[in-house]
Amino acid sequence: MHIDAPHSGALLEVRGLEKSFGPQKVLKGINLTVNNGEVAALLGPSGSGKTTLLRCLNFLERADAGTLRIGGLSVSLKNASRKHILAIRRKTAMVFQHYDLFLNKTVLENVTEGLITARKTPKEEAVERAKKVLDQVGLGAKLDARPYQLSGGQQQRAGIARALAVNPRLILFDEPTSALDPEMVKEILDLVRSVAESGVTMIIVTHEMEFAWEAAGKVVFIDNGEIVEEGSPRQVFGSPAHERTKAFLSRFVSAKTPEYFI
Amino acid sequence: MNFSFSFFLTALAAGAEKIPVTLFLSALPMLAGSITGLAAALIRFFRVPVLSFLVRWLVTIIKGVPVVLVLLVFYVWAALFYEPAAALFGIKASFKNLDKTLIAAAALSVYAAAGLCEAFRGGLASVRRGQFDAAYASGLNPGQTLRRIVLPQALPAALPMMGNVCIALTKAAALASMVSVIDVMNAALISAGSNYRFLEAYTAAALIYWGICAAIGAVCSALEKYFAQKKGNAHAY
Repeated sequence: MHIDAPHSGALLEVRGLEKSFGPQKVLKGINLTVNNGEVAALLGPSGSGKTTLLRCLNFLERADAGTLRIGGLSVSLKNASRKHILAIRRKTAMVFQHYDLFLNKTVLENVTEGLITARKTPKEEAVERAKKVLDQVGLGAKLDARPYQLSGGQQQRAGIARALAVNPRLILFDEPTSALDPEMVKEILDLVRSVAESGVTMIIVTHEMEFAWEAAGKVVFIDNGEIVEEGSPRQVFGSPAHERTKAFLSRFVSAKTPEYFI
Repeated sequence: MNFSFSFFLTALAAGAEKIPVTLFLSALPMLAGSITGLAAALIRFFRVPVLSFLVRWLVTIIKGVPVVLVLLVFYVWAALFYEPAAALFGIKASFKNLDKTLIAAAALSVYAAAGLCEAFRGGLASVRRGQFDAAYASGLNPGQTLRRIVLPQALPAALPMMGNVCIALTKAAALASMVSVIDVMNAALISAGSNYRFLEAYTAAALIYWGICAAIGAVCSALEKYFAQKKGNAHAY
């Protein structure tokens, strides 16, 4: 289980991912490749399956079919062993729409939990690492605060710190700004962008088109359980090939100055 | 009909002497019921095949009969099976010498387990789904998730209902007289046997029960306050 094994180009490869909830098929054969250090933005209308796709990648949802190759490890998305699932989860991290900080723990404990309990990092080392990361996200003064004492923006900063602390190969962001006040959105997006610039591979489900345009190396447009279109932001935003993409992007595109999309 | 205050005090003393019995009959079932009740609640919560179904029916059956009936069934079972069961292990034991308090405690444990199963289930259901997601995504295995994240939130949430079960047990302990155990209630009544001053005896017993239940209630609300302070309002956002 050497997920770290350097692999040329692709860090993550999904093939033939299918997922149904009851009779409703929400993902219909997804193929997705994300390269090392790449930031991939998943766009698409609500209910298109973006979040489900993300949750299948770290097995929060069990897919019905498909394979996942991450680093050197190749597993079935349907029936990977517990051991492999844990290994994948311990090399990745996730940031949630509703932050989902551990409510029974302080901010510092939220960040050290994954290190000490899941990865057996010595406590002192974990605390040191957590403090450094919390400093980085601007929560250095809130170590002993409890989640309910923080604003939404602060909770999401803590959530991002929790993800960063474990030094993951891949961070999954599930609409990290959707639950935030408009004025908080920018500060969180700036933080996500600075994380992206540090070279971590990221997959981010977002409705923030401008963010996708500016920060993503790859934009993936999903509709109705299928990848309709993918490519660089310039390709997808600038000259979308499919009607569905055009329709979805039209509001954002028309609000932008034309020279964005040469 | 006059109220003899002096006999009231006599009955109070007689009843108070048996407070340990009543406390034993609520503490032991509370403990045993917590362990089995938690296991049962987890079985239901994680929908363990077969077992989950079994637990559901057992709880429904136990909750659907009066506590007295559970006590009497246990008494009859003990009368029938205690001696043969002991003989099976090569022990010569007689039902006559068996401490009937233990039979009552066992019966009340079953009753408590059913009530506490429901209490814990409520507590588990109150934990937000995202807490599991976050724990799993952090790389915690299911056991760690339960121990470190979920139960520390579920148990405080179950506390008010656990308090109710504990108070119900204390009162149900009075029924142990059915299997010839002398607890607070019966001790007070026995003291009135010679002079028929039952009103005084009842009043004395009531006072002792109020005292015990008030103490349990106070402990519970202190615990609730403590946890509320630690956790804050989890649903504030």
